[in-house]
Amino acid sequence: MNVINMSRRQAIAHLGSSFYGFYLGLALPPSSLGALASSTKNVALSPMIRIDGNGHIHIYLPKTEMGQGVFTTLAKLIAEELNAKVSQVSVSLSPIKFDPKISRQSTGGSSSVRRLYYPLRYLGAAARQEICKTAAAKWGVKASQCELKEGLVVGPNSRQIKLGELVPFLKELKAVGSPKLKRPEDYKYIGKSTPPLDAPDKCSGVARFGIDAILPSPCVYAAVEMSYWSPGDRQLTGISEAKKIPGVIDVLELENTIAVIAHKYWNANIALKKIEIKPKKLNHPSWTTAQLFEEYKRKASQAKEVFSNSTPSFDQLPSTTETYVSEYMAPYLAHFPMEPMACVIQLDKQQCKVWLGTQVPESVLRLVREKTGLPEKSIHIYQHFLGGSFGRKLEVDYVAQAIEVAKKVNHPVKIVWSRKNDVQYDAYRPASYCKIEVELAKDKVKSWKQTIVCPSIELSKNPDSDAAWNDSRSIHGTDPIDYKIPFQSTSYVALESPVSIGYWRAVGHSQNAFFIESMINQLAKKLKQDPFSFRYQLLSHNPRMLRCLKRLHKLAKWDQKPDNNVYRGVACHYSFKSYAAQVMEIRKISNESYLLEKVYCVVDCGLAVDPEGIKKQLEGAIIFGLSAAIKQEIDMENGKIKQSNFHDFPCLTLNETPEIVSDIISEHDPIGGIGEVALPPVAPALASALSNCFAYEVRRMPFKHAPFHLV
Amino acid sequence: MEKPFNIKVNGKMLKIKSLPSTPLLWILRDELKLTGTKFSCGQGLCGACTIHIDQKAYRSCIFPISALKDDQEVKTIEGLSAKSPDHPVLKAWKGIHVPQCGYCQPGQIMKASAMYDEDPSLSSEKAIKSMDILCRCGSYPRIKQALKQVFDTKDQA
Repeated sequence: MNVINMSRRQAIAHLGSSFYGFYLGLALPPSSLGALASSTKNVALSPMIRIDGNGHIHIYLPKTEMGQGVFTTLAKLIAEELNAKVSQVSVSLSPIKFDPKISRQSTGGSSSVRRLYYPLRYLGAAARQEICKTAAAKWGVKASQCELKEGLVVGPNSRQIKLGELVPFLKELKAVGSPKLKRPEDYKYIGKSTPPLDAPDKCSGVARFGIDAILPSPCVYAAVEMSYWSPGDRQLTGISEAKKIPGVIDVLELENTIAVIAHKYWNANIALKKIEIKPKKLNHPSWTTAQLFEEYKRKASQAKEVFSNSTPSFDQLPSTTETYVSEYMAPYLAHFPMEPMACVIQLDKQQCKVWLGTQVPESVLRLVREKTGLPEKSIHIYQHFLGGSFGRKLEVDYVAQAIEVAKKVNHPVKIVWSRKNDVQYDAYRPASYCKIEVELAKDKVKSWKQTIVCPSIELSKNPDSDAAWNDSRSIHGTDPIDYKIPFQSTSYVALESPVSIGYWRAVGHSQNAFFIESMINQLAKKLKQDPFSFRYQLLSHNPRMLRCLKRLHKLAKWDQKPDNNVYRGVACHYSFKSYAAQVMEIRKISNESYLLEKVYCVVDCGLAVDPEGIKKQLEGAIIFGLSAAIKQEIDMENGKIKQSNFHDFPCLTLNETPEIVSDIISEHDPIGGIGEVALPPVAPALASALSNCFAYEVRRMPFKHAPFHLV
Repeated sequence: MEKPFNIKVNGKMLKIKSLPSTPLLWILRDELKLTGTKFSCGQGLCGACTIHIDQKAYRSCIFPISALKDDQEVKTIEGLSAKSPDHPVLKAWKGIHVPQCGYCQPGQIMKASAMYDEDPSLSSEKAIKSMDILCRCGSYPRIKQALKQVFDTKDQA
């Protein structure tokens, strides 16, 4: 298989119309195939599957590739049903079409494989059926007597025809229906690891990311600095010096951006450094994460109950013997993908072309339409690979900025954010405070009440939404928690955020699992119970999590005493329809320092479509989670985000990374998500290991604030 | 002021006019359209922009073109892939399917291949210790595996 980066325009030239029939209950609308329809060399069986005269299968996917491996996993679902060889298949991004009535074409929420597993298989199976039917009609035999295998249709009496030779006779599928799927014992790809299709290009420097778009000359570059203050509230100095730098064409003062336009990006950067943006009034906010938490703590008293659950046995329980209360905190976090925001745009009166990496191409299309007034047919979006995203490129702020710049520039323009821009103008994971109050009746947990104070992403995106006060993402994983407890409740205070907030890998689970699982570990310790046994008692209703933990217990050899100076902690969490459990092992180096030794991870994601691809996602999420757990936070200083680059928003390095041993429970549907699921247990498992090692409860992320550090 | 420079990149002599402070990264990406070398931190912190200058690894985002001597040769990921497609580092990276998003991988490969070219007898432990290119996707376990393959199986070169 190979991967093709294709523009919307090119794809439409091949396909003619929308692939959206796919989303509409799988009933494909009649499509006008344009140039393709009259060709005898190609046939579009559906807008997602085209077959050429050589029998080569071209698959057009509605999901973007940002390192999560969906290009390979989704393509092989179609290839599976078409009994195709890997070398017979090419994968491209499908065209984008905006229709407000249809769900968005976006990639996120660990949803690609779990939502498309059956639709893509049914589509492939319907295509296989159509191919067999066509060959059967040609031979005057029954379709059931024909079989498609590796590009060849074989019929009775040794008849055979190459798939490519059938192309002139094949017709577009009118509907997918419910064709017979392959039996599990015949799977060639599902459940097996397939070499990622994009790896060779990504190793040879050929793969094109958003930042790599190359424009026809003359193209200009923009270096940008965002301004917290609007034009009336700010003062700019140094513009005339900036304009003296060779190659500088203009300095644009936009609503919240100062952009230097130059023939070369570096020259634009040098010029931008000459410009200083100052507020007219010296009245700007400053806060540290520690101060935020004090404020959040005060606001906790305003919490409204958003979830509660009481079992009939609750009233019959013995009276409370002790109440145990603990408070936890998690900071604002940047996404920090390796590829900073970048966008290339060409805008004139007739059309707009945009080259970029985005998780939401359809939102980009809508934004361009709204901001330029151009009709959809005049807007062309060229999607490239994403150099990481983790939720950052769900935002379209950098596209909106690019459109404003393009309106003032007569040439195609390439805008690349500095790393500082990227850190300081993110849509951050919101900071969060959580108080958990637990009533104990002797050695049993009787009630569990948690209060969460957290800026609401829902409120920030839809200020008028009624749902904002009950933002499901802020309370992810708490309604209910994974454990069976006679009474439990969640109360919540939805705050407005002083900075832009958004969806960060695992969203609310990323902090809530730390709160819940830390409390569970502290309770186990308080009750002098093994953290595994303690969980088993509370998970009798949850056989899949129970099984994950039991598998983990064995994998991590929990019943054996670890080496001297090795300390362990465990945590588990259900998110995105998958179950994850982890043991973290650390090695004590001194009374103030430790290193990360080993992580054991067991995941139950229903069916593992591509085990190696899944293991890479588990490793990735664990490492991403460790960076956040130990090192990262965002503070505000004098009206600006304090952090600016890898030195003050550090990531885990290769040599700090522990060995990761993972095991996947793969049995049956429904399929769960995988890109985010291994992240939530990381922080609480590590916190527990640290507690066992240093006899100190870590209740605040990042752990660098605790009196010991990673070496 | 902009000045003319002669530079040798992937075996070709080229004439460039630029500000002397221009980092090689932007010369490669914008002037020569060699976009395999990636921009990420701009301060020499992450190594995504790693290239070879006379076979040694350098971070091109902080290496001004004026610091390049006339007889020095620059090699990028494109040059390595074209001239040495069977380089043990490239073979290991492709065989182990190291990349996730893939953005930092040209930098990782250039760093690892510079280590290998300088001393193929290096132990994998030392190679791993010296591997200092950052990755956000968390491809580190696969990078370690690739380095072990490269430096523990010397006969494949």
